[in-house]
Amino acid sequence: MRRFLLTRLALTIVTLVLVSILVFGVAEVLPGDVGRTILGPFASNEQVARLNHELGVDRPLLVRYVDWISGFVRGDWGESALLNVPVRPLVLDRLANSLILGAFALVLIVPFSIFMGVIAALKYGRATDRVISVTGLSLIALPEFVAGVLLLVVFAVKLGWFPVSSSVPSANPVDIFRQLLLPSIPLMLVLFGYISRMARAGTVEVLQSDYTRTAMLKGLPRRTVIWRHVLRNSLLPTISVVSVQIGYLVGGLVVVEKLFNYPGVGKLVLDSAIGHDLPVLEATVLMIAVLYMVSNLVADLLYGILNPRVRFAR
Amino acid sequence: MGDYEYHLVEEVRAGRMTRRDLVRRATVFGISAPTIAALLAACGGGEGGGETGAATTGGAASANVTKGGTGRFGITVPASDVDPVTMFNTGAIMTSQVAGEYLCFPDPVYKLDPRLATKWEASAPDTWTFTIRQSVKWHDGSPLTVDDVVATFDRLTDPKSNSAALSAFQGILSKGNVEAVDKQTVTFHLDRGFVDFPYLVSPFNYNSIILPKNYEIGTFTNGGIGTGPFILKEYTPKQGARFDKNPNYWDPALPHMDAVEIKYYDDTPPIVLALQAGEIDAFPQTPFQGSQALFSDPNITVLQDRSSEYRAMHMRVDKAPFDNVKVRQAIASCLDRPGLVEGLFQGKAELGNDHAFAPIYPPSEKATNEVEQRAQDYDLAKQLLTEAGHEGGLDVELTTERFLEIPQYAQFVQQQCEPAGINVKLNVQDQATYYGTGKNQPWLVVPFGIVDWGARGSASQTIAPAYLCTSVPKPDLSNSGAWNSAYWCNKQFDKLVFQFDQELDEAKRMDIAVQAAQLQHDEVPSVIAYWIKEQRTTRTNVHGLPAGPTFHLDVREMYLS
Repeated sequence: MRRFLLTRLALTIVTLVLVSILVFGVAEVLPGDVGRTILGPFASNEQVARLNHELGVDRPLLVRYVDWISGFVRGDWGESALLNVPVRPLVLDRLANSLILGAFALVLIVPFSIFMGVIAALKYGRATDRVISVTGLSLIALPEFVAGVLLLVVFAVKLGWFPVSSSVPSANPVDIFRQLLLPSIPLMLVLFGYISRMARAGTVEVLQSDYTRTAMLKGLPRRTVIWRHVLRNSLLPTISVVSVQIGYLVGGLVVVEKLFNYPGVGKLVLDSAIGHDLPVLEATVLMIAVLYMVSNLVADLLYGILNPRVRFAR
Repeated sequence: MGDYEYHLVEEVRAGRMTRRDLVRRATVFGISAPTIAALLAACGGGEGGGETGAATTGGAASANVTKGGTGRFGITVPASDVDPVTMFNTGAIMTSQVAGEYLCFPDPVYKLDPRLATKWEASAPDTWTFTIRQSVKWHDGSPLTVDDVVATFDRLTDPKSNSAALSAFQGILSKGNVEAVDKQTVTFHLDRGFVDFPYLVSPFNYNSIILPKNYEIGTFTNGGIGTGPFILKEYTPKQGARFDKNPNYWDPALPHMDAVEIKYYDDTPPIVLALQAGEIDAFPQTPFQGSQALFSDPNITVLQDRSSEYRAMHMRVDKAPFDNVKVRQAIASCLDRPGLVEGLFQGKAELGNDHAFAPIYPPSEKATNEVEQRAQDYDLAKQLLTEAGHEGGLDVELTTERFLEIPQYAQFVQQQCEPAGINVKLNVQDQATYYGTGKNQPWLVVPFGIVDWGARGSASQTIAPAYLCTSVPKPDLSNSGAWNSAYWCNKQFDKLVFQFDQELDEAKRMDIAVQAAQLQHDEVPSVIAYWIKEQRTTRTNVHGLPAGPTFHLDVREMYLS
């Protein structure tokens, strides 16, 4: 187990370094530069060149990278030339906001989706199954902005139950629901489709397996069979799906963040990429990568706990 | 009555100028309100005042102004830090205008209202003297001096600074040519005569917010800088800003509200929804596309203002087939302009006539009336094509950007050109790609393209970057501010514009405008099919907020009932 963790940790660090190099490289390829973004289209080329020189972004790529990463590992994340603020509090604040929203959506939707998926599997081929499966599929196809606009028009503008622009909630549970429920619904609609389908597929497969039949045949009550034999095995693929979706929930929420004007990290990634704001781009991408890898690691550990074969193979 | 005033009165009496134009023209020359009233009286007939302050929410001057409250604005998020010297996008500009002030401020009909200057006059077209308002205090309590004004313009014209106004002042005002004459007078010695100069110290040259002489670029968002009606208290990048009332504002009757809050949004739909739900009070720059829901909402007031915002559909005069003027005229003759105005804006635009003298600019009146309006005429278009040797039809590619109504406009162009035998292939790119940067700027390269141009204060400001020989891009696109995307260079036109800029005689100026407009209209470097009317939307309880000009924000007289 310890060896497993150490290997994973080493791999994680290698991946992060690769990601950070990749981001620098990609930003280099993107047209434009930070000086032009700050000074705008009306500035002369000389003005832009001078500003880029002052900011040091006209130095060779390697020099800038080494300069940046040596600061980053020491906790100095630099300044955003574009926004004129320190990078670290900006990125960490935004990341926390995204985590709050993502966690809220996950906590509500994962148990529900698994439950519905298992129900569908148990009613395999019957009307209930059809309804759940078709609903899930249609919801995946529903773009977030369509769902979001609909929700906003009905519940925020017409009924006035929720704010149109969601801010980061206080610790008050009522406020949490008020601020986060609406923006998290479009996410939940998408997640519901994926997770319930995985849970259903896993359960169907396990229900048809030999050991389930054996358990049934040896006279165990159906409830025990499901709890002890079916669920434990059928949830394995679902866990990997959920862990993959965490990356989406944190970094991929640009549409929802825009629509609900929620200060999350997704928009920050997009803006800093467009604006060539490398310190912010690097920090946000790395933080998202870390989260992604941590959630994968947790998923693997959970996997091991649920599946002894994986656990003992290591 | 001075010479110029007398001249204006003569023009009106002779019927060469309307009373409304006299008012607008007189304000450009810093003639005070009582004098203008006297001038109008001298013109005889009708009541004085003319049409001023056209559209404002409610009556600003009404007696029952409600004091207090917080005005909340939804505006587009600034792409970079907010600083008056470097800013160029609307979010940053509107944010700065709440706390900062200009020497003068245009009203919705482009009439200039004195602010930090009390009056101004030109002793010659290239020598402008501004009298600075006395006993104005900075937000930190120190007094505004002429040195601050001089320093502001020296900073903006310093080629070594990050000033975004360098291109606007280029060839007009150079560093070191602003002189503090005495404790309340500042003289601008221009590089050349420029009769519309006061517009360059107004929001139409938005960087010209007056800042303290020791101002350091990048410190504006720390707050407490400016002389304006509200003091910036808190600024959160990408999220918003909060302002409190300035208790020492130079006009003790203003502002009416206690505070102003600005919320930044990335996109139009969330602002529309926030306004409908009452989470914000005003959406100062409401694009027509995407905001239609607001126009029929009973809780929303829609303010409309004519403007000089337009789209240029350029045809590169150095590239076949557009090097033949007949091809350019043929394409211009295919468009059903009233149909475009109706189809794209439900009528909220004015007809364009392929020249840059927008109907809103005071000296454009004669050009608007006398240059024959181009209309859809397929017979003419086919004849022109035949003469140009394209009787069998013509295949062209129209490149443009995905921005507001432009993709639909391009489709209309495609449909309307077809009956004349012109097959238009569309290439619609996303905005960032189309503009590009450095050596890769497709919009300056493609032979046939549509681009969006913002509103300006005077015809010269519209023309200078886009239609002069000096603004033709170099092959490597390295000359900045050179956006003559049609590559049209006409010495005669340049000469006329130059004369137009230094002619103090208003009647002669209008005549020059007619000649220049006719020339541009005939040569058609770009099709200018419409001038967009700008919208501003507020909750119905918002009063005293002017409808424009364009996105510029003048919140001091706004109040909430």
